[in-house]
Amino acid sequence: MDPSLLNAPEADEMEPKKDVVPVWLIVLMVMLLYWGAVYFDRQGGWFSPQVYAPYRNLEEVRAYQPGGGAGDLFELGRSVYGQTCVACHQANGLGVAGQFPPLADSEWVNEPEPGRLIRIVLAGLQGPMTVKGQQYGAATMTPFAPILSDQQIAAVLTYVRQNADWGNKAPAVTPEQVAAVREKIANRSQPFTAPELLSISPAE
Amino acid sequence: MNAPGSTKATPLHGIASDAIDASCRMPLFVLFGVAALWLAASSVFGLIASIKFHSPTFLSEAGWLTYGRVYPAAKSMFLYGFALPAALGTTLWIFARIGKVGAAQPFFIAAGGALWNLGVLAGVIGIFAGHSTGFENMEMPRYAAVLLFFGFLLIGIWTLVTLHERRDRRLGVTQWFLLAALFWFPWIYSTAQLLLVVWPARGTAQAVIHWWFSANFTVLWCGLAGLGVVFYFIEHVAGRPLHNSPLAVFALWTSLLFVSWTGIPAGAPVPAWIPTLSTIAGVVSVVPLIALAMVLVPTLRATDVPPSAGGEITSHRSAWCRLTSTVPGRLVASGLVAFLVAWVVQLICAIPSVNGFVQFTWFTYALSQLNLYAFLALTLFGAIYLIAPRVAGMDWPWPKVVRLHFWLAVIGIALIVLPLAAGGLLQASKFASKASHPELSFVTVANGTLHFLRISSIGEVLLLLGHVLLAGNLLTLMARCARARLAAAYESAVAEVRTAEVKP
Ligand code: HEC
Repeated sequence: MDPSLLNAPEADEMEPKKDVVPVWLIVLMVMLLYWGAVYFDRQGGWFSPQVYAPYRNLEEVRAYQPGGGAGDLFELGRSVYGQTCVACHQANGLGVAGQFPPLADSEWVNEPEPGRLIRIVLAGLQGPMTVKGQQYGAATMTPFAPILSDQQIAAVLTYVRQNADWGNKAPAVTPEQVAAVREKIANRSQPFTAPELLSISPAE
Repeated sequence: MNAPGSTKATPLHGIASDAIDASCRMPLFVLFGVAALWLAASSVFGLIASIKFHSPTFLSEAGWLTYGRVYPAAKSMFLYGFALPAALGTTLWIFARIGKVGAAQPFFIAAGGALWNLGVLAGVIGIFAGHSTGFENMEMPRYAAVLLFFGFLLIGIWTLVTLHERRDRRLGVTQWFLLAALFWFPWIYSTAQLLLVVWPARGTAQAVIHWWFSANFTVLWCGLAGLGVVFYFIEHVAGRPLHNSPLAVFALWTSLLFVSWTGIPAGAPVPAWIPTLSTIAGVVSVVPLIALAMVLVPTLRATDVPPSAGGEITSHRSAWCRLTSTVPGRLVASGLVAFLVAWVVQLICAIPSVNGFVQFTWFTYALSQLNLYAFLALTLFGAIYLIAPRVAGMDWPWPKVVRLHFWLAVIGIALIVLPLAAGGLLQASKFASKASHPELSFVTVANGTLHFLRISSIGEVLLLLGHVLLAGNLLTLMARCARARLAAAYESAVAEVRTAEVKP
């Protein structure tokens, strides 16, 4: 190594300097901080724990993700339907001719009281039946009691019954109604048949 | 230019500097020596991890050699085995040298170094055994962290005492930066340990704390420690006063204030105010960057000050020339360039759209390597090459190998950073065009980077070679020093006995 480097002046030999931080740099910093405050006001959602990117404030979240009350049950039902029912009854609710009956505009779905519907979803359905004048019975509907909660069944039935796109218009189903039926048929291991359902009052 | 790293003429401050160097010998041998071994081990496993990316079946039979363990183990060895101890040793020596005082309690510092290394060993074995904490950059399990804590405590306290006992009472910019680094690491590491491992925070807070820790460690701590070394080289090796010291201190405080908030990606799935603050902090970090540039550029460009008392002017070289006239200085200078580039890129990446563009690609990895290796590791190599021969009191066993290591390190890291940055940008542009090209699956895009990964494996090989050279040179130096001292002790003992025999 160059010996002259090692004999370099130490701190004590250096001349004291009168340099300071340039004012414009401080001004720049203050301006950037001001920009930061404005930016935060626009983008930061004011510390709300509900505002996530890409949304910037609570109003936007509400506008793009409506929720609350019965609407929630309907939205939950949409996702339950998309995961569990869509494979057979199809996304448009029309089913598959001769195999899976339609839910759209079905007289079963639009019954004022949901007792029979809840039983169908809880315990499943088999054997010949008529929906909108067509005969079905080739396939069996599996029971969903083990995999769906009362909340989810109430939601999916609410979604099906109140789906205006499908021409359905019937009252919502509550988780309490599902729970009551679940208790009544707790011992059942066989799917229902259409005649059996017709013998039960829909309100029960 | 003389042979690199040679110490032929070291009458720095007469007797004092030799005594100071001698007082640092034991702790620095422990800290640097073991660090060099960890570094070599780290690059072996880093190479394995790098190869696995393009040849997934390579060494895939044993669980402990799977990517998920090899990569964090390699990274922990680098960060905790090499970077931290090397930075701590350098800090101790610089404090002692600038303060013109011997290391306080060298034995305890060496013991702390041993304890720390025990912690790293336990941590690395823990990672291989599958006990990783699962948080990047702090994977070493809790039991290792306890050892690290006590090791750091011993080293840190006696380093602080060394600073406190300094005979030259002034505190320069170099000391400010190193002191900040000395405090910053225990603060962030213990906070992150407590909030993530000991009493884990729930939900999104976990991710936020982890991002905070990573940025504070790999960007801020790394910047403070590395810049401290850079300033030491400029002020005390190239012998040039800083152009504007108050501005450098201003840069220090503003980086502590702003950079410490960065690191949370713009689109992170956490409440929007957190990434928003992080973005703002990232943009305001331009202030310390400008301040540093305003200190460094004029300082390095200035030619020699005309001697005040009419002494003869030996040369008119700029400070940059002086700095780069030795291999250690050249390593530090390369590190400084990497640092400035990395900071500019980080600033650009603070802009949310850019951040969203490069996220999940190799670009971010390239950037972190630029910071951790091209900046911090090269700077620390420079420090080791400067300090070790002084502390040992003899020249490097193979001075030419020092220069070879410089080239291996610079070319090796360039072969890692440049291809991965290019591959990452390619990857990012493909991700961005997904809307118009739905056939581009994630896997297809990832496969498109394979060539870049292969080139980076070559870079890893070069780094590994360099690390082996460093370890060989350093351990031989230490062995020779120990042998010489033993021989001298034996000689004097024998001489005593002889004089005793002659006397009666
Ligand atoms: C495995 C396919 C399958 C799945 C999944 C399925 N169903 Fe069914 N569903 C059927 C079949 C088959 C019938 C007719 C059974 C028969 O003919 O006895 C039926 C009948 C019905 C009926 C009465 C007939 C009608 O069309 O009005 C309703 C209501 C019904 N399903 C609702 C649902 C709901 C709600 C779900 C989701 C929770 C669901 N189904 C999931 C196959 C399925």
